[in-house]
Amino acid sequence: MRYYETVVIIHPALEGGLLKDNIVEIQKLAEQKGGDLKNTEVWGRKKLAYLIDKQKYGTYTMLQFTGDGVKINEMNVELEHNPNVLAYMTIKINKTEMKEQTADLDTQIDGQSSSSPEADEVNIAVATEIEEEIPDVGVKYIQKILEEEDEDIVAGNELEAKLSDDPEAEEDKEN
Amino acid sequence: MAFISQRKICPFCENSEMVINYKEYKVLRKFLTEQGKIIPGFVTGVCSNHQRHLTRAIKQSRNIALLPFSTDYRDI
Repeated sequence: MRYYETVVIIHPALEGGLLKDNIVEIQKLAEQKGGDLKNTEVWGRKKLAYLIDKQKYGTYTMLQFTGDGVKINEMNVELEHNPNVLAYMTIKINKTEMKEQTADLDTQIDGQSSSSPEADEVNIAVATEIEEEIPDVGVKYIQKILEEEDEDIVAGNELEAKLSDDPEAEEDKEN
Repeated sequence: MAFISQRKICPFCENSEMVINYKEYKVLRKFLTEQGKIIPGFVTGVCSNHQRHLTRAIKQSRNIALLPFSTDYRDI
């Protein structure tokens, strides 16, 4: 007997009852193809790091269960053909990483709608960090250019001054 | 010797509370460049044992879109 963990990204269009139906369906699959289902966690709606099936967001769900290696492959095939699942990943974990279920599925689904803005905020914060960094580089770059331009202007002024000292240059100007 | 004193200490050896796991993508993000590449251990100071765990965790979290495979900062 081995311990497994599956993370499933469910389509963001599914909410409330439809979402619950899908999660229950996946739970049944885990019980059929795996063994004892120990824990289900709904992480909620999160922004994806890259587009999957043209979707920006996805609802993350994690299942922990015991099972057999051969049947896990069958479960992955089922998930692959499920149109509501954007992506999934099954990995082997240690017994110490198994957690006990703390909240019901209903409360978790209800709670994730309120907690989702926080998840979004994190991603926005990361995005702003990157946005802040780029202007810094830009400002430095612009400052460099400006300094170089200043030097050029100074050099140009010196040249003009030199030229103006020359009598021939003055003559040219007069002419 | 000065050579040894300059060596960085591995953040995961130093602090046992920092856990390497694919779910903790905020920790893993520190070990990526802006482009999304994994920074080598000799730059960050992570020991070779932890670096192996780190690369595995980063690749796992890339698989479920918690971390990017690559980002072009010009698109943002």
